[in-house]
Amino acid sequence: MPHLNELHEKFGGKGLVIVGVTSESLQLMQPWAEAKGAKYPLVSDPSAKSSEAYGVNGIPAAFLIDPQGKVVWAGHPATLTQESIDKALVGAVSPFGPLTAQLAPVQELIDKHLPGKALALLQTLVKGGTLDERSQQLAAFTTTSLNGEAGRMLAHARELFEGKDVLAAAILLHEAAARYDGSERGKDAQQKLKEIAKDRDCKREVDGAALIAKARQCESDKLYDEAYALYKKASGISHTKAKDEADRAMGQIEAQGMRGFKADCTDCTADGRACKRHRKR
Amino acid sequence: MYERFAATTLALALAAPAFPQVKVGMDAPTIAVDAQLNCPPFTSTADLKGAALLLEFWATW
Repeated sequence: MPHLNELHEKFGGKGLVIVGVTSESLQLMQPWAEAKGAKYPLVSDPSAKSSEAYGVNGIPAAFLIDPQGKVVWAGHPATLTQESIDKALVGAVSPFGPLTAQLAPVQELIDKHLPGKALALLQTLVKGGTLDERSQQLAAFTTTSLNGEAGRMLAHARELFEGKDVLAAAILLHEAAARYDGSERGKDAQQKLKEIAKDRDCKREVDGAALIAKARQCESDKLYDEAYALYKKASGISHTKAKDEADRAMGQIEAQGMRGFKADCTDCTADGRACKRHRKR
Repeated sequence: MYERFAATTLALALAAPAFPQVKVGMDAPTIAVDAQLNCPPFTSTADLKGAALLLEFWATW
């Protein structure tokens, strides 16, 4: 069961819906779920029609179904592999979106890639107590998914740090801190960065990582000159991996002819790189 | 009631799988839902179109 909570947090936002089906009553199921802290959807089916339909002759038994409705895996839930899940998730979307009208401002923040602000707003709305029942359920579901995504980023950063890749860990933490700004998970990321930066050598990487994370954001917003300037700054932090990474990224922007790219110039956008008029060398 | 239960058990034991075990590659039967927890309401697994589904049959005991 903790295993299923983990899968729910990890893959819920990616379109995997876990449904625990029991032939017991809701009255039995509810206290059990509360005691165990089950967060994924649970269904009570006292008629046992569903287990009949699946021919279940022993529990626990699980079936993984792809978005087209085909059974792609069946067995004991503990033997389900990530590989099977990844395969089943191809083309999958979360069925509980878009959010209700009451949660429209939350959806807007998610669409703007500001999940931290979305989490903060969800918390405020839930506390305010004005949400209708469906909105409340959606708010809880969305909160779990967003927190799960943030948790994945933080866990990955921890792995990188334990693998001695301080730079990659710090870049990821800076990204997490920016995305989840305004929420608890954003604070966690900030806190972890502070801890890493206590070591003087690591601090130089953390500072470089801050510039690189910002530069990457600029690159994805097609602000190549701003990105280049940030990389150049990071390149000034000598004898660090951050400098190496910044130099590599600057070289790539140059090689791709993106220096001087103007998103509002039709020639630039038509070429997919800086046009003759705007190109910088 | 007890007799019926006993008869069913016997029938199940003799007739082996009374219902086909759903296997990989088969179309997944849809399940009607009336009582649920931890999610927005849906009335059937058919409502979860577009998602990948992990169905787990379990019990509290």
